[in-house]
Amino acid sequence: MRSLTEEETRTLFTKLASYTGRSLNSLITPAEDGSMSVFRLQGSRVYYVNKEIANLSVSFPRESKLLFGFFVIV
Amino acid sequence: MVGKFTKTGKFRINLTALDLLAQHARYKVWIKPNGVMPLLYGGSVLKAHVARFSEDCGENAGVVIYDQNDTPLGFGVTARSSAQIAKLDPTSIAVHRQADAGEYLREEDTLFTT
Repeated sequence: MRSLTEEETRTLFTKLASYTGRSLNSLITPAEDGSMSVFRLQGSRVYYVNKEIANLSVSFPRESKLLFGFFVIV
Repeated sequence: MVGKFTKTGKFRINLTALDLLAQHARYKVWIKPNGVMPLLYGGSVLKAHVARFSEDCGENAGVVIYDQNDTPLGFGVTARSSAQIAKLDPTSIAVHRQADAGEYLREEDTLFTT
């Protein structure tokens, strides 16, 4: 897992912006309670995940990690 | 998961990003009940299925597709601008599908594979 390079960020945001328009900004600014989510790359896949979870997940070696984030089972 | 980078460096948004897109969508399209099933089986949104469309939406713009109860069903790219869609005949395609909630079943085996 790592954060995106500048070029990857540009590609990703261009694509997302075609759906979200300007509210894309609200994705990358901290929420009112101070929690914040970030984009992280694992393999070729991009996750949008709470920053605390992302920071915790660095404790695990990259090869043994499949995915990270929240799972809600209904 | 938001999506993945292809080997050529492009980015492809995955269905699992629908929740994220639905909360922040700029252009929306609501479809009638008769268009829900065709969409969930992987079809495009025809003009006859469209109930309501966000205004001043351009051609090839990204839209999130909702049903009449405001449940997000998928997302796609408009085939025509919202002004032109009104003039189309009922069987022509209004929104090209990119992802729909039916993929959770159709692509169940591959949706989360690496």
